[in-house]
Amino acid sequence: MRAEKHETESCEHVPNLFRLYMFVAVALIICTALSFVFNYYASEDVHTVAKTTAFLLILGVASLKALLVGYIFMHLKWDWGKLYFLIIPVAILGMMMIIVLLPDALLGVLYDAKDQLIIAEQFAKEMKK
Amino acid sequence: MTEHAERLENHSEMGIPLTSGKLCMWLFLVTEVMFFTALIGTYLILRSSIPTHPIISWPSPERVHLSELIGAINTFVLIASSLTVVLAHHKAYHGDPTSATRYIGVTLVLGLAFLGIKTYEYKTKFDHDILPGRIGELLPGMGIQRERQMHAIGMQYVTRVRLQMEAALTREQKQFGYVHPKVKEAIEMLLVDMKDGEAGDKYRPPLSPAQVGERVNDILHIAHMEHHEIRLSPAIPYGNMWASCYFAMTGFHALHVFGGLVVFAILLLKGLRGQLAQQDVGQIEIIGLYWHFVDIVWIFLFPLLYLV
Amino acid sequence: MSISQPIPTHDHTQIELGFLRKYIFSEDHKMIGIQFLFSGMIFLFLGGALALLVRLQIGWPYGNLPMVGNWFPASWGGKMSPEFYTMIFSMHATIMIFFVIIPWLTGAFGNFLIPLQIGARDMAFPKLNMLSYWVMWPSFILMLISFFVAGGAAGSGWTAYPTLSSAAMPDGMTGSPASPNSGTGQVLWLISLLFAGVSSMMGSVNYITTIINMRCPGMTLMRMPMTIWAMFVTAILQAMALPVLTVAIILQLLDKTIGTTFFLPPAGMAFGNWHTGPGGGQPLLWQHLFWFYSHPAVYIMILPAMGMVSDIISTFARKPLFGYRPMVYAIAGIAGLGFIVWGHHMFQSGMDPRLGTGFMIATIMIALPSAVKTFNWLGTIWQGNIQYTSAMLNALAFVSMFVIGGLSGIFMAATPVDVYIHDTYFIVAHIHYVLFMSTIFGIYAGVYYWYPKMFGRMMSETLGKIHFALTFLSANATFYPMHIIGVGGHPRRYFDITIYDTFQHLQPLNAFMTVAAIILGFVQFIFVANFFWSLFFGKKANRNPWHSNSLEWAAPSPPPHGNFEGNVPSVYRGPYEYGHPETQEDYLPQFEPNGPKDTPGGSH
Repeated sequence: MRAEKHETESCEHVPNLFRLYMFVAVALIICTALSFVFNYYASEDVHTVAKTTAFLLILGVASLKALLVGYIFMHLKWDWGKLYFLIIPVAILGMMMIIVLLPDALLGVLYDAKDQLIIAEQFAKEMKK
Repeated sequence: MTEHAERLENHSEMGIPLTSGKLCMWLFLVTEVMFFTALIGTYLILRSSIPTHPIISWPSPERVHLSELIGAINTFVLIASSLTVVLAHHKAYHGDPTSATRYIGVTLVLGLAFLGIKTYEYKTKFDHDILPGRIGELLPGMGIQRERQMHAIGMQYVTRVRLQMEAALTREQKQFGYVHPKVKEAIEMLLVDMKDGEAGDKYRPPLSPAQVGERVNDILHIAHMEHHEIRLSPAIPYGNMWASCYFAMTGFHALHVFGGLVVFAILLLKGLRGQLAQQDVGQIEIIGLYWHFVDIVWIFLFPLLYLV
Repeated sequence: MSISQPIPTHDHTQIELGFLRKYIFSEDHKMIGIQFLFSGMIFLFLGGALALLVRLQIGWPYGNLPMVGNWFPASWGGKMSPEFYTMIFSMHATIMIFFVIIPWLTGAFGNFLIPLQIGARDMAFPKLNMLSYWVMWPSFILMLISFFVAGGAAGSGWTAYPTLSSAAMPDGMTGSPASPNSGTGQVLWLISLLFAGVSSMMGSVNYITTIINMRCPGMTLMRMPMTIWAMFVTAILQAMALPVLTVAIILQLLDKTIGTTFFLPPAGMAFGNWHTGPGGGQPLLWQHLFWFYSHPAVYIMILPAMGMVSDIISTFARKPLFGYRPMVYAIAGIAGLGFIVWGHHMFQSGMDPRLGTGFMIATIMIALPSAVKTFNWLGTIWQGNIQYTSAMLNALAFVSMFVIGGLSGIFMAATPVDVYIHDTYFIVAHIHYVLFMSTIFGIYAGVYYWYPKMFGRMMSETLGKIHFALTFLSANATFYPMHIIGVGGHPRRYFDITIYDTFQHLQPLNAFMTVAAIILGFVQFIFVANFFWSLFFGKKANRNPWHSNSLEWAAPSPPPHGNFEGNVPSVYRGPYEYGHPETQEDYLPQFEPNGPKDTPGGSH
């Protein structure tokens, strides 16, 4: 019973699986090229896209690639129903951890570098006087 | 309902239709996700805690001699190896152990290529002395406060660079019989300027660590233009932090790649001996999951380190 | 491929293994559990001895220590040095947390109970299980070695905050920002915890796989005993939180060995001509990463005890557990919330204040599932036919001590109050009420309860009750006054507070606590005596001495290799069918095919 259930849900009964894998690999390579394009437009010589925008775009492309690998290569398309209870919590947790820590990173800018720059500017002003 | 029927009925409810091995690998990947999230999170936080200022900012890939091209090649290599693993599983599942073995072999070669390219990249980092704790942090224009704060570390840098330049002159002399004249001239001038002296009838103070850093970077630029590699610690603000993050992240990723390759080597041996049986299909799938995860990690590491 | 229960190819009871395979390199989950139990017990006494040293110093500062003083170097004159003091309180916490509580709860009870209570023959991966115990040994050994290296063992607290722990000064420098023990001792501490972490991770992956895939026929998720639910959630907590600590430890190790600066402040730290390094990192980041693990770890250290106590209270109250499903959801809720509250350890560390508010709200919300659990335990006892066995007494002590510890936790959760009591003895009182008094009473309850199953003999009830009464009294006498001196401002981790006039009046209370602590320490020998005496001379136990319902009582005591004779039992109902109106006996085991059918979650 269980065995049959597994068989019918298995990835290996999808027709043209080989072509699907090839298609995904090509898509991954195109995505990599795409992130290079974004990077080029954000580079200092061209600079048509803001750095932050390009950063987010490139991270978006990377996430898309990760989803493709996970969905097809790691067979989540077929196994999602059995594994979502592991993947959803860990995805939420990982994202949350980074987001929660970011305000502190900005504090670092505030406390360290920024006031050093302010001090440096004041010093320069005093020197002019 | 008889007891037997009830047992069977009950049985079908237990567990999820996955082998324990596959479930275990997924659980392991959950821990790995958290591991790399913490590493990448550390990197993102350290990086974003640094201001965007013309001089004090996170080093760009060019400044730390990181080639996007090499990163891109490695990305392609890993994507290709992911594809071959999944094809190996596909072939093994359909009862074609010969093709499966071939695909495993290709995967092993691609993985080794990845590590080879990584080694080359590490070697260039060592050659340029871009290592944690060795890079100069000060450049002119940062403000007197910062120079004062980092004076001690700056003086350590000055001492290190002086020794490196003196060693470079003698070593090049020994090795090639000559030192490139432009480089030699720049080094000798810097060595003189690093001591205090007289300019006309005035006292000339020695160069500050920040000024030394700028001059060293100039020498490196000249050497680079003349295709004359010379081992000198450059001055890159936050370069030490960058190098720490770079080596920690790519180092742990490379360790994971190595771990996967060991398993592939075992499977390949099994396959070459013709022992790849039907029950190994599950194993190929499990190691495949791991390999794809390693690929996903690289998919994130590549843009974070090499781009933007 | 899809059959979760391995079909025995041979009769498990027939296997005879050599001594080494049976008792040392055993793959049997029961033996591994017992191994964890014994090594935990050894370290309990080591950690306890360190605690007594700490108490002696605080009770009688600079006093000539009787006996112990002779072991100190002659230059100390029989007195403790401040560095030694910081070392022993750091190692006390480290040993108690990583080598006693966690190995006991997840290692000993997790290993022993999971396959038995879900009706499996062994763990999903017996070899991995064996490895998870033996990886603990490098950890034990490195930690013990660290006591004897130059500078002594790690002395910057079990939290090992940089820069205190990571900015080691070269020899001969004074005015160091770092603790003097933060050289080799700290490096060994880090490596040791790395091994402990790997062991825990292997264990947790194994437990989750086993609980998901190896349950016996009929054992649906909502028929699992609370112990299993607690172990399951704990294993998930470990699997998700531990890697973060691993990263933090590795980064600090790199900081200390190859000169990276992840946890050194942006401009580094200069002291005269000496500089810690270029800096660029964030000391606060360590605290975030550390507490991201260590706060969930606090729940790792109590959830299994909660599960075990739920089973024990239900058994000895001869009543179904009140509100099974809410109990399960409460455990899951505590675990979920446990991941988003780590910042409450850092209210005073210079964290972004906006985060503080969020962390405060999340922390106070944990009171809700905790209260659900507490009231459900009370509901279980209410009008029950209570049997006051040693196990039950310890379980009841768990509940009451958890109430006190939990209530004092709410004070710290509120940022304004925490500003005042942060880093005082109030915190010490809280952590010991929750970790020592709750968890250890939970563990004692578990030992008294499952001892017959582990060793096939009963423990002495008389000694058990004496041990319980004395422990309960002396533990409260030790830790309750800490609340008072904490609110009085007594800072924690200070070598000697009598040099401050403000704290002089607290000193008599300190001496009283030290006396109580010494009594508490020596009372534990009653437990050990009982444990080992019963091992050889205890009354032989039958299969089900407590007339309990869950699956482990279907196996012989002690269970043979493979746990169950013949087929694995089938499960027909939840584990809490006590005092069912339709049965003659006041209990109805899960594995009993005849009798009233399932009432979901065991509630009437």
